[in-house]
Amino acid sequence: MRALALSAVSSYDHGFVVVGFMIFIVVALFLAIMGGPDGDSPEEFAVGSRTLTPFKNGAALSGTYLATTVLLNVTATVALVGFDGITVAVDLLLSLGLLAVLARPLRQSGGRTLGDLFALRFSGAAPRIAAAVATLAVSVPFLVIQLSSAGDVTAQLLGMSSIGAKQTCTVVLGVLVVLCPMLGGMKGHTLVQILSCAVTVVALGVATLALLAHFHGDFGALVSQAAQNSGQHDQYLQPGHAMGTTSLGRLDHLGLQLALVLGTPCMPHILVRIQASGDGAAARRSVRNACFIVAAVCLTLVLLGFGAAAVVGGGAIIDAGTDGNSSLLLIAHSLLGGSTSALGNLLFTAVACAAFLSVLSVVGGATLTAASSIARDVYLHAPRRRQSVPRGEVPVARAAAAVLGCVGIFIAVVLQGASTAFGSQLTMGIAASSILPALIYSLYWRGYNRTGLVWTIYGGTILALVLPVFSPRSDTSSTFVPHVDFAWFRFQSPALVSVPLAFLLGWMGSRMGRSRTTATDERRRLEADTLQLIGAGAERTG
Amino acid sequence: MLAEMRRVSGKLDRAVLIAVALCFTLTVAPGLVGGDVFAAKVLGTPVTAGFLLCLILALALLWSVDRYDRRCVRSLEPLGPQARDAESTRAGHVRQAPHTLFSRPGDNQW
Repeated sequence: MRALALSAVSSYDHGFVVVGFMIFIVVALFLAIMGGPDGDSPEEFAVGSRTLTPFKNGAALSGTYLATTVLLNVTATVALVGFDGITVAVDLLLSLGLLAVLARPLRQSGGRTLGDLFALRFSGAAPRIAAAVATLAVSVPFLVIQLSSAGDVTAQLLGMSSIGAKQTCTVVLGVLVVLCPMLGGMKGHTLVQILSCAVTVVALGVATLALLAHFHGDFGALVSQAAQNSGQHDQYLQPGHAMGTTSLGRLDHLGLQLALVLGTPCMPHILVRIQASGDGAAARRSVRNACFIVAAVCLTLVLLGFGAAAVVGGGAIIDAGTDGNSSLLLIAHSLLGGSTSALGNLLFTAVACAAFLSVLSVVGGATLTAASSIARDVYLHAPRRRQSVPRGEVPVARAAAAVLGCVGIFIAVVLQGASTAFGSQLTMGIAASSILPALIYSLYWRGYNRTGLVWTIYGGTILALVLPVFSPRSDTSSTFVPHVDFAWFRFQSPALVSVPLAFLLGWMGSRMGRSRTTATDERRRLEADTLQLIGAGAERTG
Repeated sequence: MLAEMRRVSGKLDRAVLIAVALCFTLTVAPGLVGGDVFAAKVLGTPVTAGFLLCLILALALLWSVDRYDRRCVRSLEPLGPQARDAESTRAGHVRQAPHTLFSRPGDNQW
């Protein structure tokens, strides 16, 4: 069956896919170069001079939000587990609600990195170093997962299934992904993200219309057939089956959803995208615009997930890969006459190109953010560099992007074929456990101080990194000590435990460091508080 | 003015957060209690209806927040950069930002 499912995809005219990819590679590089910064201004390189209109920034934010793993995982979850998959799509939308609240004070604070935000309120190098650590702890695994996942899909689309072919695809994609932000900076990369968003909306919209036409517009028939062909029948439309029906399984699913809602808006590349808006009001309007686009795409993903279960069948999807990530491609392959018609070929190519562009869009953003953080928080503001800066921020950021890209590609190639779901949960867990508590406390709690910040970020990061190692998913016991069971942490996602603990650590750290708070710290807090209300470094963009 | 902005902004932020939290609760509740989602009820309201209501509430609040943001920008606009700096100095903000909020209105858009 697996061979059947894969051969169905590989029976496609690969010429279409190859030509589609080549066209979009050329267009993306062209946009990155033409839209790139005119000079060596760090403000222009890192946040596009903050001149993006809410419409453009909203589209780019949607392009950033709709990662390859989101497109593939949401469709796969709906196709395989039904109702619980819909909740994943809803969680993605709710996370934008949280981002809408954070957007205004974040943008009003100014700054180009997470370190800038913390440095506004806390003195010394420690807050910047902690911010850089959190940024890298989230961005590097994110880079690896997206590249590895994209390498798998690209090889499959080109009709190759060997591990060597997948690794080659990962390397080629990785080079492209690093080139776009290096050449284009924030402005050039924004154009790539807008292109990615447009292609995704159009391709998935057409695929959904084709799916509804396949069922003559009868949504009830689509859902009934999905439930029937999924192999789960009545359970398919009932909640609470994604991670098993035990209390532990249900709590585990809650933890995953919590990580998704709290972690996604706190990914560093999403936070920096907010900084590209003209002012706080424009930042919120960007998020509002992104809400509409992401909601539309999530709706199409849910329908295509049902379509995959109904048309392709749950068994065939699992045979093509236990994680079900082939669902989107398999359903796109089955519509508009499939490989026997030109329209079918075109639709399949469009969906494949949407997945391909989402890699360029999202991974490029993560690389740019991590590189900016290294250049600004570590290199430029490290104590030894304060007096004399031998090189500018932008060349250092470009070099950091190249190094990060190489490291990311190397790890992705080594881990090719490993579970991307585990990595995704890890990344979300780190963002939700370290960055979210630090942001909430920094923006809304007067008693928060430098000790609390350091405890929150390092404590949250360590908890989110260590707990999954002892989860059943990590295979630690079988890998290192075959006869000892280390899997004492029963949840797949650490968020349910690590997020409250990180908040607690922040509170405890602030209590412990209260005696070290000086008048200067209080003055800085007042400055930051005022800045969050009236804004800084802003240019109105309507 | 800053105190008023802080008060209204805080209220709206809290309202949006509560709406998002309610939506999240209604999203995860059926998964935790199990059973038929269309039949499950929270506080006597069907989960699906409650979820839709909360989603509408969240969207309405986002719209209010947007209106408030626009009002803030409008109310600060006539003050100009000097008055804005005076306002911020009075509140303890002594450092000058590299550009002010209205230094180059509409300039350099792309």
